Amino acid sequence: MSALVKSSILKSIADKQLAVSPILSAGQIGASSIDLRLGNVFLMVRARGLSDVDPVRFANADSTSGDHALQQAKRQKHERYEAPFGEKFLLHPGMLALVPTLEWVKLPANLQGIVTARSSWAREGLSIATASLIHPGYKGVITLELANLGQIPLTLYPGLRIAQIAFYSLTKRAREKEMTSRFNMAFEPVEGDVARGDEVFLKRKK
Amino acid sequence: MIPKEFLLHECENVRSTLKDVLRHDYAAGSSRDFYNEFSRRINSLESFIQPVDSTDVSALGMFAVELSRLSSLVHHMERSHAGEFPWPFTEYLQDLATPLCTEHLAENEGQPIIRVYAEGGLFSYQINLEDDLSVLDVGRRIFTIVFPRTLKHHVLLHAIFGHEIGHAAWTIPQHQSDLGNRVLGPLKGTGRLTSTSEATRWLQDANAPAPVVDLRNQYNQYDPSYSQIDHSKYELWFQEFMCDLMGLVTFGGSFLAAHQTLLLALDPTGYQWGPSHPPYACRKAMLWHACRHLNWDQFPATVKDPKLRADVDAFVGSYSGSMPPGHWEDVFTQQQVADAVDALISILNGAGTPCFVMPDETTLLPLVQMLDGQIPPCGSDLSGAEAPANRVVDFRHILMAGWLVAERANRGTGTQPDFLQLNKLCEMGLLQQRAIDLCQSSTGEVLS
Repeated sequence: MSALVKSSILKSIADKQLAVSPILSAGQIGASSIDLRLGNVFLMVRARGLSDVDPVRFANADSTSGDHALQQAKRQKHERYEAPFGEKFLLHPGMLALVPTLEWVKLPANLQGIVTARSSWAREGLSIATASLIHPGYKGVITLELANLGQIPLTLYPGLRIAQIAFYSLTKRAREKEMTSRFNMAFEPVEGDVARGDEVFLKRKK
Repeated sequence: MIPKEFLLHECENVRSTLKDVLRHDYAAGSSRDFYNEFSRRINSLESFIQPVDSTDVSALGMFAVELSRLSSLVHHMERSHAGEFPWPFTEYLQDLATPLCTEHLAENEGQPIIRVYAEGGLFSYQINLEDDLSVLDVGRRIFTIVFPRTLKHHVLLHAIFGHEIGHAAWTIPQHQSDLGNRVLGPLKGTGRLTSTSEATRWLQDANAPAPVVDLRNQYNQYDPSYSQIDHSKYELWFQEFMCDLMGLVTFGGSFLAAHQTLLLALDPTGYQWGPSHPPYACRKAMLWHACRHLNWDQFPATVKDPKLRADVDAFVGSYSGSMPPGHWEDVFTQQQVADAVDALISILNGAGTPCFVMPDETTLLPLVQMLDGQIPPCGSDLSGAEAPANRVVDFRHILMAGWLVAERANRGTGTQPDFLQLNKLCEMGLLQQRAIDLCQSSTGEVLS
């Protein structure tokens, strides 16, 4: 696995293997990465009357409580906010927000992406958390998990360059059936499912 | 509690609700404008009610209506915060509709405040500029855009807003006069609908298509007026014809597709009519005359790429209203429609509202190819150049590309995404195009 330099990134784009759309300025393309801009949807984690993260609620959705419990568990914990260009969004200390990139990214089967915060924002306390690995074959916006680790609010605006993606070539092309992801073709952040695949440990006793 | 006391009490309630609305981030960018305008209106209404004699039922009744309207406007602001509508599309729609709908504002009048929210129901599309200014001290009018809640992401269907721009313009006296004389004049001047009696004769034609005859027979038993066209029905029908032409010249091909998709969902036969709406079949026939006048029917012949040509041909096949002359629903001649369209374009040009221009192949093909590659369609440069040369693309061309790809589903060809995904790709494309437009129109400092 090796990182792509600028000329290789551009060649992949020219060969229609890789797509990052739109790239709004030449300065967005670095020596071995492309800057990513903030999209316009913010999914804010909010402590509300019925919001929690309990995998048991997810895993037992088909039992007595039916689909309602699952949907409520997913929907209750986030508040959605949409801002046009020019509108600000405050990320308060300790707050977690899921935001999409403005760019649509499409990766071929032989590349994976790694997303990190831009250092200028990281120095202000902005952390772009865990979903930093973008699998081969992925297409869609990239969800950034923003957290403010500092002590003062950060004012964010759609369109700002806050993250960057670097590309790594793989030793072999990933197989088609392994490139499926439930987040594929994502247009905006969606809630995760922390119970998925671990249901055996989470079943309620009858 | 006597009525006057209650009205003053309700003024306090509306004021309190207005403050509550500030809990939300509603109507991005204009929260302060809304708050100030409505505070002003509540104060004004309260000052009118206070000196009124408690026995003046006429004045109190009038103020009750005003207060109720104010309460309803404030509540809609509250609902605006939920973001149940697509912002990028809304911004383009504002650009398109605002010049026409605010052209008549007095020089010293403040610009309208734009209010956007969603309603339930498939046919809740609406645009209007507040015109009933009544007795209140109004500083700025409210310009309202309403989306159907369930169609939030369906930007391809939102091309129907072109029709709603027509209704909004009709509420403005100056435009109503222009549209009535210059656009509807030619449509009423000759042909089958020159008067209510001629129109009734046409509606009752023994050679009308079977669904029309069936409807007449069905209604004649309990509502004979259904098959007659009185003055009110006549005028309302013509307003619909004008609005359809407005939709076509403002949104182009995507309007044809959205119009057909939505109206046939309401009336799959295409031949039903109502007190305010003529049969869809007549509207479709009229729109096709307009397309021919604008030479849009010649567009397929200019397309060289075989795949795009197939898409365009299929689109025309689905949405053209071509029919043999003299057919029952062909109520206007080509010349009548041509005169109406020319007048409408002249009115729009005068107001600064940009009419739709048919894209050439070099504009349309990259957008369709992006959709084929499941990439949001916009003017993004995907060539891999070191300095990307992004292009300004008319948002209506993005919608048209979306409809061309959507049409493949009817042909059962290709592996296009489903209709919702296609709409979302186009919605994303509009957002990205907005960013490109911003960068192109500035030095780039805003975003870099």
